Amino acid sequence: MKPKKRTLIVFLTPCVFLFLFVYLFPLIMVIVTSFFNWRIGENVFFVGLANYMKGVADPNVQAACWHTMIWVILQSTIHVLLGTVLALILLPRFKGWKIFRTVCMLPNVISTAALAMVLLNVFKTDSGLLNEILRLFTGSKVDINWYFNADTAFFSVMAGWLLYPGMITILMLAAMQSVPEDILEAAKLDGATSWQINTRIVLPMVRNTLGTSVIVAATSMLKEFELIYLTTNGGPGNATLNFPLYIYKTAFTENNYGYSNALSVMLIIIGVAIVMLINKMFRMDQSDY
Amino acid sequence: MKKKVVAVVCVLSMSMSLAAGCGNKEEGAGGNGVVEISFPTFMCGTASQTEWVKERVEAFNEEYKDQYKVVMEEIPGDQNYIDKMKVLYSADDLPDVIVTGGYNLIDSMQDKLVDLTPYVEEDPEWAGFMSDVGKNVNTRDGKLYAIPYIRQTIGYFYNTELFEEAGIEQVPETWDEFFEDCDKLLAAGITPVSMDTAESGWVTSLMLGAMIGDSDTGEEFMNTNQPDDYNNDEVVKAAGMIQEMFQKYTTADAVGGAYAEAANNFFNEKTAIIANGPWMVSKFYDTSVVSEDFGDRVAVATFPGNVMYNSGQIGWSIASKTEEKIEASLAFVKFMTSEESQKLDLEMCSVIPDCVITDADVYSQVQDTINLADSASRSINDFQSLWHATVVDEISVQYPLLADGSITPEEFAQALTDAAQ
Amino acid sequence: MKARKFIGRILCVVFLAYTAAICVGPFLWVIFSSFKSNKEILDSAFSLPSSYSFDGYLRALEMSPIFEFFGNSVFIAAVNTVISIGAVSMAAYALARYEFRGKKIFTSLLSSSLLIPISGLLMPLYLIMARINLLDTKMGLIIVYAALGLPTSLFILRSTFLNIPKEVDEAAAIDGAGPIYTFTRIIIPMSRSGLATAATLHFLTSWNEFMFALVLTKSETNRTLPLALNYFSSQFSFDYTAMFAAITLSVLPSIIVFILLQEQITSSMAAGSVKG
Repeated sequence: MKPKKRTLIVFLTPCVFLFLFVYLFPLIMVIVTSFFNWRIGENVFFVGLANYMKGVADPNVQAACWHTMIWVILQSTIHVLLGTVLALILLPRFKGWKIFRTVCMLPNVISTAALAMVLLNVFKTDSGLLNEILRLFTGSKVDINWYFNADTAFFSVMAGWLLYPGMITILMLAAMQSVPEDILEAAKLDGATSWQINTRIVLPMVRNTLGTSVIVAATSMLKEFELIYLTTNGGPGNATLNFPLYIYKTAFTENNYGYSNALSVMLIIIGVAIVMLINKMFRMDQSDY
Repeated sequence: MKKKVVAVVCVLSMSMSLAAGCGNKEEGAGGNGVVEISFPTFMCGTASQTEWVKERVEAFNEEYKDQYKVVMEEIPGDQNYIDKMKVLYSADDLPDVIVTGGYNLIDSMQDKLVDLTPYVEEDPEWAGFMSDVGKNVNTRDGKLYAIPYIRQTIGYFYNTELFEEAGIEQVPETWDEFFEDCDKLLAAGITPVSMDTAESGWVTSLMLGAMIGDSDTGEEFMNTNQPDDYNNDEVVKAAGMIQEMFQKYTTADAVGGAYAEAANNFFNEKTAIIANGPWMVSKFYDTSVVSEDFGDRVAVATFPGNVMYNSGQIGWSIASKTEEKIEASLAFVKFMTSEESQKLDLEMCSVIPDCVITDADVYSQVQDTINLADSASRSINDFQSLWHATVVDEISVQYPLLADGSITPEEFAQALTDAAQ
Repeated sequence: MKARKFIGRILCVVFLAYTAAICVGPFLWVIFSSFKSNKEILDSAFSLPSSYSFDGYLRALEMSPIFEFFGNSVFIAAVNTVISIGAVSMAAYALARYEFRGKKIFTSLLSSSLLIPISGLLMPLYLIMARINLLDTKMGLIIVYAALGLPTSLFILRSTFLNIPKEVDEAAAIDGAGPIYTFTRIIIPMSRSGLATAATLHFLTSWNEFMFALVLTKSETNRTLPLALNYFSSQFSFDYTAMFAAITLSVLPSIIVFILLQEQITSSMAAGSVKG
């Protein structure tokens, strides 16, 4: 549809205003200062691409990059899959589905600090819940320090978000519930199994929302910070270090704002590329109908 | 076209706001000539000096109610306080009075801090409260940037009853004896030491520092501000001992645990030893966390080699911009660092004062700490005040690797060196 | 065939039970911990409280200004959610319906805002707020929060509008309705479920935000709840009982808002779904 210019301005202005007011200046600031040596208590001077060169060679950046990528991929596949399956199970509105919908959201509601403390206790060595359960099943003594062993830390930290698809479920469920009833009824009359209805009718009709879910999941991993900070702090070594945490550390611990902002620019570029890619994959630029 | 114009105008106004900084803020004088100064503090909530700071600020505002008013801003959490100060520093909008809990902000922020040397020279009585060590820690290039008010004196606490059970008659004098005693405790079925790794691994790192400081070069190292190289024999040897302690002499929750777990294990008499400062003593008598009479079973000792943490601490800085506010801030800082305030801090919060106070009413362990510090043969400063923040942060992610043997003590020292550079 | 269906059922039930357990578990843990003593919390993390007293709650209220912060949080989160969803829904509609030059750049520019790390935002926003005298005001926080997670809401609402057939707009246009009328009177009522979902997520984000609240405010009359939750642990002392009591108190409104907004979704379904 080709809109009138005025209509477009009316629709876009409030959002553009919010964006410009809050983000434009910081965005410019981050980009510009990424080319400067800027540390607290030192003179600020232009260094060209030095911060970026340092970033590419920094082993911590490589580790953070690698971890972030794996988490983005797993989150936008397994996490979204879990959420979607959950939404499909809730779709027929069995008794108590509303309670279950609220239950799904609980982990997103309690503060991350509280969730971190729970998880620390679950993954503890001696009195940890996970080890106790494994002891019950295997009968032998299990003494794994899940969060602080270099081999298990990466996947243990990941469990703190990968297994909590509440948001995706809520998103998908809302979209699935707006699929017209009569289409589903007609399919049922034609003898379609629920598997066929789900995969051939429901999921294609909510393709846009599925794409949005993938974007939400992927970008959440590009921002994930608090839970790691409060549990392993990126360790042991740099086993659970990711981009946002390393950026925080370079800014607030190392006081190296220039470098931190160069890393931020790298993160933004990677992130926008990922969002665009998902947009394209799910053809979200046009309406189906 | 219109859109472009709007965008350009926005960009311009934003960049102007950058150029102008944050100039015209509300002026200092709040009505009837009373000068208001801002004082954000982390001393709130459960922090150990909360009561003291509340009492003192109220007393100051009462005493100077016609001239000055201190406006307190509570910033819960030490790290949150530091983070906010860094933002305010970059925005050139630091508060009038700054005091941290052992973190060193002087080195990074001294260009915005007021040089207090002339004001102290003007007031000999005030200068008399300050110890030389205290002044040294707060001085850069001959300029005093903060007023000392507390001393960092730390030994370790031990449970006398558990020591008796294990047949230990006197506290160990060397680290070899220390580990022999640990074996005795183990043989009696007692876990010897409380340790932690989270945050900065405070309890563990105090042990590490004391081990490093047990020689002439080590003592010098533990008094060096922001060292860049940790690849020396003292650090490597100490890291080796810490590794052994993690593997044999501590609780299972030490790796990954925070101060809370370490302290709790000592409170519940699961462990016999914990390294920490005297501010912990009031908890020994708090029956909501310990059993009756627990306090009577706790004594304090110097680290093996008669080493004690005994150093000045970063104190109160002023970052006011106008003469009028500097004057008000000076009055406030003078009040907070006076002998009276330091004595109250000692009595209320068991914080060791920078000046000499002999007639304070304190717990025996607090007095013992002071006496031990005065007679110790080696005095060192703590890692959190000395080392780069990046190193302190790196410690917490390297300890787990050291503990499970994934890295050697040499690699540990190298990792700290890398973090410093 | 039947057996397969049966196995499917079983798998569903197991999956639901497992999800419920890992979701409810932490929540119950927080509530139970608010009744346990600090000693009990550290000694036996998963035991039940030995007695149920409200001491922790009393201490929480005494130690931190929870009630005042609570009121501020409700006001700030509610107002900024309305502003944000209002503004973003209009832009999302334009993105879903219109083709215009620079659409891709527009989307990517907005997406980039999601990824600017907090360390890059704090100082510049502090300067802006100082400049326009909105430091330490509720208004300042409301504006910043309204823009938080802007792209997420944008994408959610865009897909909501994309799910509505274009014929609806075209029919309205033939009846002589202008785009603004179509949007406010026809599209918005049809998208209640998407709007409620976006609003829920946005509300939660701003309800739990800590760092901006810390840096952009300083007086108690403008501060929010997440700050109050930090009063209970400092480097060398802690009161976990009081902390969990405070968390329990702070969680309840979020749950109520969530249930109310989700009820919107359910009722909008009942009101008649879109006929394609």
